[in-house]
Amino acid sequence: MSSPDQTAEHAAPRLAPPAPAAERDATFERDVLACLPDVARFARSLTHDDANADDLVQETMLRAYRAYHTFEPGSDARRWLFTICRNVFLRQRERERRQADTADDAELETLGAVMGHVAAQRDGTDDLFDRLDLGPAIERALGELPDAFRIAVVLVDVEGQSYEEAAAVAGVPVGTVRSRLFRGRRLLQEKLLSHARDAGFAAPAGPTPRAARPRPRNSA
Amino acid sequence: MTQHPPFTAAGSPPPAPIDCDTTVRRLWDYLDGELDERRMAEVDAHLAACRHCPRHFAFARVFLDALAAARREHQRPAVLRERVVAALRAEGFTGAGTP
Repeated sequence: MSSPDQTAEHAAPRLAPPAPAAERDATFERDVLACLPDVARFARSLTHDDANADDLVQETMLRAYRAYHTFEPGSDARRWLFTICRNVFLRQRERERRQADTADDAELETLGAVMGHVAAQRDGTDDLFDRLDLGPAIERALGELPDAFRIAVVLVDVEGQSYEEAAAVAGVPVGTVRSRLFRGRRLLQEKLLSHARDAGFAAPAGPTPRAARPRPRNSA
Repeated sequence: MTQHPPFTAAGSPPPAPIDCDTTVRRLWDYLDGELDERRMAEVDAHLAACRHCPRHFAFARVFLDALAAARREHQRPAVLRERVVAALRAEGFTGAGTP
């Protein structure tokens, strides 16, 4: 695992000779500033608060600008920015990281999610995701997840990154991101199903199974 | 003429049968497309034959679709951009700052 203080801006090798300031700023604007909407979305899912998210976006862009000489031209600016953004955020929230650093067995987390579905089938809440607009409930439930799980779920499930890309952003091994992702999904499902039960939501048993195929990644 | 078994690419052996427990342990990796070809084919073959597992996979698929749909854009992107560009200018940034 990489040290929490290891930042992307310091980790990247310096590959190009210094460009003149105007040229550098033009490429920064084209390649990095253009990713502002992506960073804003990612920051919002980390902080769950618009004002804090905007502060985080600004700090991320400032750090990116100061460290732009370390950015490898042609590499993935979005991933670089996500990494900086995540580092800034976590440095501000250091204490919450500790509780999520244990990587439980990923397959057990998967089984846990399936057992949650079995329970939902039993009480008729298993077509919840088809029947309700879950946007607000998902946002609230995501906000209640510990940071490390939320980061994994947001990167893979909302931003459409692969396990490998998410691991690079989170600064942890792929296996760790995978366990955090699976745990985060299970916790989210539990929260949503529990929310549905509390709201008295139940459907007649026996929904028609639908085909489930691997999904394509989001193109951002 | 070689007869190809179902679910596999030409020339590869048929997928080994796997049970429900093994199949559901692979659920997330399968839906994320993170399994290798052989394990993927094993899950496909099991899902085609099993009465129970496809429901779990369908439920998980709908859950993931709901998560992906929760992606929310910033409410006032132009305002945020102006603010960021102003902060960058204070650091010496000379770009135009307009999208």
